[in-house]
Amino acid sequence: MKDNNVIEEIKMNGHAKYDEYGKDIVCAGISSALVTSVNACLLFDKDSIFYEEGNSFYLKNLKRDDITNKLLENLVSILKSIESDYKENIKIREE
Amino acid sequence: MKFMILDLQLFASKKGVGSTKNGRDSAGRRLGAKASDGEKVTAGSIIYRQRGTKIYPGVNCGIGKDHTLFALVDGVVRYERKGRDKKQASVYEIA
Repeated sequence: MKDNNVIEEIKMNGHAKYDEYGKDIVCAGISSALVTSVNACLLFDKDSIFYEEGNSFYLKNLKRDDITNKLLENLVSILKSIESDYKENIKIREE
Repeated sequence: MKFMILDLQLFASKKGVGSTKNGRDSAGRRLGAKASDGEKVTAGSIIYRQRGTKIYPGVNCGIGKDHTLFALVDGVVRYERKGRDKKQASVYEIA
C-alpha cells in the first residue's frame, strides 16, 4: 500500500508453487529479496519497520525515512521483475 | 525488531506436497536352495536357484543358462567345498 509514493505496508501470502519444496526457485528469489530488504532496513535503524511472519508476511513502514522508503521501493521493483518472468507464480497488487 | 533468517523456501509449497520418484521394487525372485543337503531328489529336479554361480555344479549336477542347478540322476544332494573358497552341489546315486 502506498501513500504519496511512500510504501506504507507490504503483505505477502500464499505459495509460489513453481516447483516442489526445496526446488522452488521463484520462492527462493522472493524470499531472498524480502529477507535482504528487511534486514537492510533493520541494519540502518532497528525501529524503522515492523514485520510479522507466519502463514503470511506483513511489513509496516514505521518511520518512512528516506533509506527505508528506498529499500522498500527496491524490494517492490525486484518482486515486479520476478513477476514479469513468472506471472503464474507471483501476483503484485498496489492499493 | 530482530533480523530475519533467510529461508530460501519461505513461500514454497510446504514439504510433503511434492511426490517422490522412488517407491518401486520388483517382486522377490525366491532364489536359494530348493533341495537341502542329504535330501533325495529325482533326475531333473531343481537343487539351487541363483544369480551367477554362487554354487557350482558338481557330480551328476547340471547348470541351466540362468545358472540354476539341477540333478542329472536320482540320488541324494550333497553341498561340498570346491577349492579354497567355492562351493559345489553334487548328487550321489543311492546304491
